[in-house]
Amino acid sequence: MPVLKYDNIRIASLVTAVPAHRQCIHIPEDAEKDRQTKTYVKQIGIQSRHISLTEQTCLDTGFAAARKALEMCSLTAADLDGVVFATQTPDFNAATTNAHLMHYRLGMREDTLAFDIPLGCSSFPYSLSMCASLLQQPEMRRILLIIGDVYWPNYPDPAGVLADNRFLIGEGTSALIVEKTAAPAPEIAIALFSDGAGYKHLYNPFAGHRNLWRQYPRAQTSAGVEVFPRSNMDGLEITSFATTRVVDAIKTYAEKTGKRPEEYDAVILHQANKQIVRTMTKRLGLADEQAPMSLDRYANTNGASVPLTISDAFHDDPREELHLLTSAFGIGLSWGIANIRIRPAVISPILLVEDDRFEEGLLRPIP
Amino acid sequence: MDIKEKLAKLEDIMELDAGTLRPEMSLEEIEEWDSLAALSYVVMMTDDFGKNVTGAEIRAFKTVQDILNTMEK
Repeated sequence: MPVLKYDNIRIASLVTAVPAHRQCIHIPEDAEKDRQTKTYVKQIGIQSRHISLTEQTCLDTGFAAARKALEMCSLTAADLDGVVFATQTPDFNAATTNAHLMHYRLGMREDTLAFDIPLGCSSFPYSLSMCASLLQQPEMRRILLIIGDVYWPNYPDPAGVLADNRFLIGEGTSALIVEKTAAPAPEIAIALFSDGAGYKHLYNPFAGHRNLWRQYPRAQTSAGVEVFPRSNMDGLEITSFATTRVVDAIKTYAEKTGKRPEEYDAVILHQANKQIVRTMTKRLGLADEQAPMSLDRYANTNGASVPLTISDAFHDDPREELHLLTSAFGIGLSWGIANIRIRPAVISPILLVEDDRFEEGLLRPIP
Repeated sequence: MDIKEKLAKLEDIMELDAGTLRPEMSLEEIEEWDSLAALSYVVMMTDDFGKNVTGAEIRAFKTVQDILNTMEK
């Protein structure tokens, strides 16, 4: 397990923005008749989420978060040396990256780097590590990191969103200013993992180019498993993976870095579902309150779920600085562990984004 | 762990009243044996028996007895 270490990096601000619309899971009065919904809320632990009904994407919530993140540090876009956007749902697939759209919308300098990282739930440790590595260059000072996804593409109309009463995925986008410190800072350590053989446990075989020529009404894999035109998740495999292999990796990381999970101010786990989070918490020997949850109100927000949970739990914390252990896991399969130090003073309360959209990018019909 | 304790664990997972399950029951007839119960089963197997079960193994279950057979250390 190679551990990537950085002793000159800090998070200068963290802002998470969500669409203003809040959707609640509706439990009928006669809950016995709706056993599945009742059990769903109990085991999966989700009661509500934020989701856009006004065609907002993670570029829009990310833009609001990025402007606030710059403002909190008294910086402007001209102070950024790069923008990294971790998303699986860019505004324009296979054309331009969300990082370039953000570069344009913020008005960043031309001598800056911009690229997307197309990871999902595991993207926090991966993208943080990428930013920290780039900042080791003497002339790189500061990178804007944006992490978020939109659920909208799965539903072409708001009625589809509103009809869904047992949802797992919510929307949210986090923006972090990651910068190099002048003096040596306490070390952060990041470990990253991959299991390509597990790709089929969580993927969408219709969305890319592999099956572009094979858009059958019903389709099965070469192994005879029926697949559906959204993400295909084998929940059993993912549960087993998260609660055993990811937990084992966190334990090994703790041994290698010399600090046990319970010695951190908190452990922030990807908010996959309540059952997974609570099982991992137990196996790490932690009390529930040592691993805060946000998924009851925000659902599973993919890559943003770790920074969103930090925003939710600590924006008004009175302590000077927190040392947090974070772990995120998902598609790939991929997983990662990162410890971070962050001052609650640089964490914004979660922003609600009303109607702001990238209007220029919207198509109009030709009369 | 005897068979009564194992059945009690499964009843707990499926949120059924005690004494509802019998080994010969077909899983197709048990509405409570759904994907959420299967997730709880995966967690229970690693917690109580130290075993990792795969999705394919679970999908092959036909009766309550098939599940009971896996509940060994």
